[in-house]
Amino acid sequence: MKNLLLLLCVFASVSPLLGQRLWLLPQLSDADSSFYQSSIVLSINADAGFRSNSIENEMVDKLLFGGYIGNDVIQRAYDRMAPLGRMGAQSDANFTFQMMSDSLFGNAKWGWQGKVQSRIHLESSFNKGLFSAVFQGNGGEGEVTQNVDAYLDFMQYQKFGVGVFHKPSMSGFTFSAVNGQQFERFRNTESSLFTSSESDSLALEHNIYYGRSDTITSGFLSGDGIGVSFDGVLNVPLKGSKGLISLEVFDLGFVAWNESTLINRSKDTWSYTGFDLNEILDENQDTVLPSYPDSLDANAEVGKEIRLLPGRLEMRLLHQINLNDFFEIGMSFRPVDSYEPYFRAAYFYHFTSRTLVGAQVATGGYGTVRFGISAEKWFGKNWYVAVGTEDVYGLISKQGLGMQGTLRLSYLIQRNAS
Amino acid sequence: MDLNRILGLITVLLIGFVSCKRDEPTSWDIAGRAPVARGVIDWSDLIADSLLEVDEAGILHLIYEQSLVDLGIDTLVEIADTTVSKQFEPGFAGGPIEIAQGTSIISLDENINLNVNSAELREIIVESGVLTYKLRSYVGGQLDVNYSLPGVIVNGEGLEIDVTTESADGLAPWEYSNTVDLSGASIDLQGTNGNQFNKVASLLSVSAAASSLTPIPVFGDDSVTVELSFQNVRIAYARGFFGEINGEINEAINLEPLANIAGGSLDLETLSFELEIKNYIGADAQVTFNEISGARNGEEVILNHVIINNQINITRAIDNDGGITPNNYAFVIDETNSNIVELFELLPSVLNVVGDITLNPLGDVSGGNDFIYTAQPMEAVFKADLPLCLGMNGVFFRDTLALEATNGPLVGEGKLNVRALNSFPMNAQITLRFLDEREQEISVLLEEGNVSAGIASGDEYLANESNFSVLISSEVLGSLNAASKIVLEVTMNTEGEDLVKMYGGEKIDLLITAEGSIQLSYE
Repeated sequence: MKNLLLLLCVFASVSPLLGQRLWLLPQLSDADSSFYQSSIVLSINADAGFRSNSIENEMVDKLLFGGYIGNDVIQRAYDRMAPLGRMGAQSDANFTFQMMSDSLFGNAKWGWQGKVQSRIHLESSFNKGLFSAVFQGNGGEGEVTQNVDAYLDFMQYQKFGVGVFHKPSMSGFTFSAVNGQQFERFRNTESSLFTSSESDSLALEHNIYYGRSDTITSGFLSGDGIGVSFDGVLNVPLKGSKGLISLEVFDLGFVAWNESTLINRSKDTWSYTGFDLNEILDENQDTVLPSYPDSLDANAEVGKEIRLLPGRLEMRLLHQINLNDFFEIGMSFRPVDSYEPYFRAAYFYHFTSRTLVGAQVATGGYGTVRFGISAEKWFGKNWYVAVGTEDVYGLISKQGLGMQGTLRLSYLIQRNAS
Repeated sequence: MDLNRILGLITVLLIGFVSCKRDEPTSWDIAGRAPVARGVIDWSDLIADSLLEVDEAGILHLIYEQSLVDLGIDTLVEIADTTVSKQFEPGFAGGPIEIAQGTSIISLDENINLNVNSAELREIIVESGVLTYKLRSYVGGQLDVNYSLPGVIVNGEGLEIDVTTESADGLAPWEYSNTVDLSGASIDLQGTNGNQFNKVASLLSVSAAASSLTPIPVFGDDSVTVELSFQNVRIAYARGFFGEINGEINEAINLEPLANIAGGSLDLETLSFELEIKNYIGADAQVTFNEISGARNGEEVILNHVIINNQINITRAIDNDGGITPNNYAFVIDETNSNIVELFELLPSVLNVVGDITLNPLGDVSGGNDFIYTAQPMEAVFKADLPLCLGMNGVFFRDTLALEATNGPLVGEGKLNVRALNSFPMNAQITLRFLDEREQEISVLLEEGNVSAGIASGDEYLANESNFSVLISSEVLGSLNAASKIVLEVTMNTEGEDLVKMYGGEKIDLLITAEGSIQLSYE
């Protein structure tokens, strides 16, 4: 197994935000293997899941699919979120190709790579006060002030990228054109819901930003925005070919949403003291009780809006232990409140040259500590399948704090015998 | 969590959180509290400010004035739409006769009869209306036509139609039409000789057009036709003899300040009810009130007073060039000369007035100079002065409010907390009921919540605080979904036998809050 660890590098196309690392087994092959001797590597990758530091799977399930959410579920979520509730979800489906046999401008160590990707990204953070106000109410005794800050960011987009990669180290980068399909962003800061001790007044102090993309056109490839993106990976081999250090950046870019983008801002204190009986008495019989608007007054603007993509930075270290096993430690970072620094440690064992299994423990990101497993296997000369989850407990328990799965299917087009 | 759910969740995330298949709504319970309603209810919320006065002794009075009988111009004088068509012929047979330019062909005056009801009018001033006229000439040449109505004064001048006609085209006449706005016009209806009525004088002059280049050939059967149409004429002033009119009075007068009261009775000490007949019409009249009664919910009290069944002779008003000197007749009806207190203790919602009225009972004694202005009819007006020094016996207010439909069934239970600071000197019991679309009661939200009377302290009442809670069961809350109306019922009683005085500062400060558990949900 010469230079095996040098080859323990990961394509930029497979780096699930929430999930387990895959695509290690092919690179454990030696340079004479079918992987390195192939002409083109075609891959389909899918990753989907959600994670929270407080909201259990049962609650998410019922929020999405319906059902009664019990007080015990709500109370456990409330108890966990100290001080901030965080939640993230994404789905990422992409198709990649890498030209293993071609040379780039006469340099045989470099090759072309490309990618078509569709991604949905959702993340949210909210303080205990908001969760309590929504799911527990403002009941109780005396004066109550609930801080109701919240942040929610949703974006859906597609990327069409081409780039180059360095075959020996598998370092490379891709520039992509981005089609912005849809975005919504809600942010409420410095806000509070006040309930007076006699329950005779409610006051909502808020500072709300709400933006959304054009709703006239919608759906896949709607073209409500255009942008660019950069993805790159730099793999640095360790001395003695014992491993590598990898630095990766994903979705570094932006989308310029079109002129029909709606932005609402409202900074005010809205108070409610009940129906005014005098107004009712002023009317004739059969008056209609006054009704209140569903939404707060807001300054609405329509125009272009530039939004950064939900990018992230990732670093990791792979190091050999014995001939058949190795470990990995890594971290990733996103500069938002809802995503804490993410740390991961994994152990992989090579049962045979065609089968690899792994286990990992991770913490941070959108959630807390979780344990995951993965398996990768070659089928015949051309087919490769990898599956994994970063949270085994979440897959089997209603009380798990997330659910995630990753799948990779690759096909190697071999070089002509001639 | 089974595999189907897991796959389902992943699928949903993959397609962007759309097309979720939901078997049931998402729901959860919250414990909430919130204000429901509040307000300070004082006299001005119950009775219009304009009807309330405080007397020198500081006692609040309800003073209400309303017309009982209105004898206006529409009753006395009416001009229906009138259309008159006049055909004028040259007065010879055969022809043609060549008529030299400027030579007169027809010259005559005639009266136009207006379609007036029984009145014999000599003069009117028009409030609004139009006169449409149409000229037709069957003469084969140009004519100078002058048609004047000298008694119709529009904008200070007599109405005159001056037209040069064109030649008729074979059998088809030449036509001309126009419309004159009569608003503000005065019309003399004394005809061509000045001593008739309901007639408008007209003068027609037709001659061969002076501007014609050739003499005009006129046949004996040629003609000129004038068609006049008075339309939608409403009168601002009329003079004449309005006739001897006998009419019946049969009026039901709604007493608006008492309209919201659904039952109960008052104890009153005094009440002044002043009936005044104001005659602004230049005609004599006789009025007899056969019955005046107050009624509520099938109960009735008939007024006993000297004016009942006694003829009242009313002398005509005097017109001083537009300044009217009316003749007024006032009758004070109070507790010393009638049972008016008993009538108003019933809290009548309706006053019924039955009687007779005769105009010009002695005929045309003015020589055709009766007059009436639209804005100043003959009317009988009552003014009730009710000092609010009273006792209340189950005075019952009822108000119905429409409810907006809720988005879905309300699930939960809790209670309404009511705090009332009452300085009205009467106790109140409040009931709230939900009704469905057919006005059928489906639940009772609040049953006779007691609000205590204010406490007397000199010339005012100190607020008395009442607090009570109303449990709202899940059944009651659930019924709100089917409710389309909420009915508020308030029953008020004063304590003891003594009458209580209202000073105007009485009020009730009401606060209603809610607390409880409610199930929130979304589809």
